[in-house]
Amino acid sequence: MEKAKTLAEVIRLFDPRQPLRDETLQFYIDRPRNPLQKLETYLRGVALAGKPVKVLFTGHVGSGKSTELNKLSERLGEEFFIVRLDVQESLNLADLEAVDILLGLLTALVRSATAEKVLRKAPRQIAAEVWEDVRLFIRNRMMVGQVEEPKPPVASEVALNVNVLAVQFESKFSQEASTREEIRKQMRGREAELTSELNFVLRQVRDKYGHPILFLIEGTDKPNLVKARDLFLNYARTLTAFETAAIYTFPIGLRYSPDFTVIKDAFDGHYILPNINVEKRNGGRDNDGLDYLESAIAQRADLALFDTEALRTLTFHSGGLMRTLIRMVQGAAVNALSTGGKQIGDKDVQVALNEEKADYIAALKASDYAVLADRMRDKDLSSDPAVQELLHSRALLEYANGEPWCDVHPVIRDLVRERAKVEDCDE
Amino acid sequence: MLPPGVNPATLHALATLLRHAEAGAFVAALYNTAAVRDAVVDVLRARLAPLPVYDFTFTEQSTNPLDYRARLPKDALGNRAVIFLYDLYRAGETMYGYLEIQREALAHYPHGLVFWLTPGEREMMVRRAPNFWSQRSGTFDFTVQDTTALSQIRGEMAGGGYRYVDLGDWERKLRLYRGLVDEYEALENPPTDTLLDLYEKVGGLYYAVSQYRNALDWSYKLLELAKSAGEKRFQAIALNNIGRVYSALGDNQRALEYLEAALAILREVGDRAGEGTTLNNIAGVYSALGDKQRALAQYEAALAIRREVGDRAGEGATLNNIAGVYAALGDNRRALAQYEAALAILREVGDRAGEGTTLNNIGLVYRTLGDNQRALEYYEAALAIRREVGDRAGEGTTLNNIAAVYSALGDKQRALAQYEAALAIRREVGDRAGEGATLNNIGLVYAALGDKQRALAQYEAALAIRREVGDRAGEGATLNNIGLVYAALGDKQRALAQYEAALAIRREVGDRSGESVTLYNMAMIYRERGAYREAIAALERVVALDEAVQHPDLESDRAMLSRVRAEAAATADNALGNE
Repeated sequence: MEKAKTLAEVIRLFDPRQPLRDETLQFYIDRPRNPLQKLETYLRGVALAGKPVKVLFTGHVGSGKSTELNKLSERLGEEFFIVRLDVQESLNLADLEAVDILLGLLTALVRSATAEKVLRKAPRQIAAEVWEDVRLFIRNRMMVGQVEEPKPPVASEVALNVNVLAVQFESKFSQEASTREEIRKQMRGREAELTSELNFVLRQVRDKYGHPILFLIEGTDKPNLVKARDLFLNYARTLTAFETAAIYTFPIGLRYSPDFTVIKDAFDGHYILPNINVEKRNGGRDNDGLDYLESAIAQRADLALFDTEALRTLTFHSGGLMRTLIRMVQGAAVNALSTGGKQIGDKDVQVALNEEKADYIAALKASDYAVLADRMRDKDLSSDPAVQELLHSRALLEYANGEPWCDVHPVIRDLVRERAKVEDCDE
Repeated sequence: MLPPGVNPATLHALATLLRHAEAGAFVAALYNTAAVRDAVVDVLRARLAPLPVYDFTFTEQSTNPLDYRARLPKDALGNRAVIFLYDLYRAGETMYGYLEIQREALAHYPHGLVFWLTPGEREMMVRRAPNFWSQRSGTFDFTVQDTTALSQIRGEMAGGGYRYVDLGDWERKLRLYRGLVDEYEALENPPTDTLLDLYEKVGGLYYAVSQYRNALDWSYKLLELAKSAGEKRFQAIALNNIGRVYSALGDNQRALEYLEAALAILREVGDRAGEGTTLNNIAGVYSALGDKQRALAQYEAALAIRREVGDRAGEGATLNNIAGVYAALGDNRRALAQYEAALAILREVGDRAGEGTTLNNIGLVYRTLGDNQRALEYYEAALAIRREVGDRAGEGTTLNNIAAVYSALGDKQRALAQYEAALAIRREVGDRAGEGATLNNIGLVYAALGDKQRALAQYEAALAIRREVGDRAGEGATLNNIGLVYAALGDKQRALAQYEAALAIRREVGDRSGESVTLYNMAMIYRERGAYREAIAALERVVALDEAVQHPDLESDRAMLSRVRAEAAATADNALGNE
C-alpha cells in the first residue's frame, strides 16, 4: 500500500475508525522504548513454557491498543496458536457476564482450530471422536432451542461441522437477547464444567498442533466502569481458571481505583500502553515522543503535505493519543483541501483543534474544571472517582516517563485555565 | 440555497470529507433547528451527487443504527454512499448502546454515516457511546446562534405546505414538521398559531399514508390545543380530521359524531369553505353506511357551497364523490357523466392527483359494467398520472384494481403478480389499510384457484392488519371470506362462527351491503342443513337490506328467497305426507 501523496489520499488513509491490521501494519513503527517488548519477552519466557498466565493490558481509548495487539500477534504468530476474541463482536457488550467470556473463548477456540486453512496446515489431526465430543457438548449443553444441525457428520467432516455449529452459536449468542439469557440460565453455576471442556479442547489443540494457545481478549476494557469493575473484581476466578495464557484488555479508569490492588493479585501481571509523551512532567516538550508521532505520520503520508509548524502543533495537541492524531490530521486535510490548499497549514490545524476542543467542552461538567486545574498543577494520579472518570473520558491523560503522572489534554488546557480563573474570582 | 447563519465553509468541508473518505466515516453534524438541518441536507445532497445519499430516521420502533441498511437498494450495500441519520432522541438510550457495540459492523461498509445531532444529543453520545465517539472523523457545526435569524428560519420552514411528491419527500416533511414541533414546544412561550398549524400538518401527513393511529393522535393533540387556546377554526379542523380518520377506519358512527361537531362550529364561525369540506366528508360516511340518498343530499349541499366560495378543486372532488355514489347505486350512466364533469374541473385546476383518482374511479365503473378492456385503459391512464405525480398510495390502489381485472378475466397468475406489486407499494408507503385489502384480495385469488390453505393464510394476514389499523369494515369482509373457506372445506360450524363475527362487525359499522352478503352466506348453510326457518328469515333480511342500499344483487337474492321458500314448503309437504 502506497503512502499518501495528496490531501485526498490523506483523508482516505487517516481513518480514525481503523487500527492498523494485516496489510496496513506496514505503516507501523515501534513506539519509543517499545513498551510491548516487555510483554512479548514475558510471554515468550513464561507462556511458551506452558504457564497459563493471565495478563491485563490497558491504555486510553484510542491510544493504539488494537494496533499494538495486532502487531504483537503478528510477532508471536509463529510460536503461539493465537486465538482472538473481541467481546464487542462475538458477545454483547451491553450486558457482558463472565460466563459469556468462557463461552466466547470456547467457541472462538473451536472455530479457530477447525478453520479450513488451519486443518489443512495442522501437522497432526485431532481425532474425529474428539470433535464429535465437542460438537455434542456445544449442541447439548450450550445451545438452547432450535438448532439447525449441519448434515449428519461424516467422520472426515466432523471438524467442519463443529466449526459451523460454533459460528452459529456465536451469532445467536451475540444477536438474540432472549437466547443469550436462556443459555446463561443453563450455564450459570456450571462454570467449572465449561472450564473443564475448554481445558480439554486446549490440551487437544496444544498436543496436536504443537503450539501453546494464547488468547487475546479485546473489548473487555469497553463496558462502563461499573460493569467492568464487577467483571474483573468479582469474577476474576472465572476469568483466570482455564489452562492457557491470556491477555485481557482492561479499562484505564479502573487502574487507579482502590479495587485495583485486589484485581491485580488475581492476575499474573498488568501492562500499560502509555500514551506517547508530548511533554515532560516538569514542563518542556518531549522531543522523542513528538518525533515518534511525526514519524508515525511520515509512515502514512508524504511530509511535504504538511507545513512544519503545523505538523508540530498537530503532534503536540494529540496529547500522544494515536487516534486523536489520526483524526486531527484527517480533519486538517479536509480543511486544507476544501479551501483549495495544497498543503496542511496552521489555519487548517487550528480548525481541527477547535473542533476537538468543542467536543470536549460538550462532555465536561462544570465541576470537572476545578479537578482538571488541580491536576494541571500537581500532575498527580489518584483514585479519586472524578479523576478516574476524566481519565476514562480522556480529558486527563496518563503518561509514564518514570513514575506515572497525568496532565490535562493539550487541546483544552487554555480553556481549563480560563474557567478555573473565573472560579477563583467567584471565591 | 443555504440558509443565513450557516457557514458555507463548514458545509464545503463536510462535503469534501464525505467525497474523499472512500472507506466511509463516522461524522457528527450539529444543528439547533430542523429548519436549517433540512436546508443544509438539500444543498449537501446536490453537492455530493453522483454519490448516492440515503436518509434514515430513528423512531421509537427503529432504534438500531444498523437498520439503515434496510433503506438501501439491495445491491448497493457494498457500494459507496452517504447516509444521513436523524432524530436519535426518538430511539432512546438503547441506541447509544448499539453504537458502542456495533462500531465494527458500522465501519464495515464504505458509507459516510452522518449523525445529525442537537447539542444535547452530542453530549449524550459523548457520554453513552464514548468509544464510538472517539472514532468520529469530525464534528461539523451548523447551529445558528443569532436568535432573530433562528426564529425567522423556523417560521419560514414551518409555513410550508404538506403536499409531497414521493415517500422520500413525505418523510422529509414529516421529519421537518415534527422537529419544528419539538423545538417550538421547548420554547418558554410557544407561538400557538404556529403549533396549531404544525399539528394539523403532521396529522395530515400521517393521514395521507393511512397511518391512522398517528393521524388520530395528532388530530387530538390539535383539538386539545385549539380548545385551550379558544381557536374555533382549528377546533373544527381537528374535529373534521378526527372524523375523517374514523371514517377511513370504518367507524362510521364515531366519524359522524365528530364531523357533525365540526360542522356546527364551522357554521358558527361562518367558515363556508370549511363547511363545504366537512359536508363532503359527512356525505362520505353516509355513503359508507349504505345510505346513498342521504349521502347524495349532503354531497349536493357541499357542492353548492364549494361553488359558492369558488373552491374549484373542492368542487371537482365532490363531483367525483357524487359519481361514486351513483356508481354504488348501479346508475353507471349518471356516474360516468359526473366523473367526466369532475375530470374536466380537476384538469382545469391542474389537480393531477385528483385527475388520477377520478380516472381510476371511471375504470371501476367500466369494470362493474363488465367492460374489462375499457376499465384497464382507464386504470392504465390513472396509473401513469399517479406515477408521474408520485402518488404512491394511489399507484398501489390502481395496481390493486388492475389485478382485480386480470383476476376477473381468469388470468390468475397475472392478477397475483399485480397484487404483489400493489402490495409492495402499499407496504412501502405505509398504507396499512390498503395492504390489508390487497392481502384479502390475494386470498380471494387463491380461494378461486382452490388453494384453500394459502387463501386462509392470506386472509389471516389481512385480518391481523385490518384489526391493527382498526379497519372494521375490512375486518368484517375478511371474516366473511374466511367463513367461505371453512364452508368450502366442509367445516360448517366454523364457517358459521366466522360469519357471526363478520355480521356483528358489519352491523356495528353500519355496512348494510356487507351485512346482506354475510347473511346470504349464512342462509346458504342453514338451507343445506335443512334449517329453512332460519334460512328464510336471513334471506328476508337480505332482500330488505338490498332494497335499502339498492344492491345490484337484489333481483337474484329475491329469486333465491322464493326458491328457498318453495324448498321449505316442499319439505313441509313431505313431512306431512310421511305422517
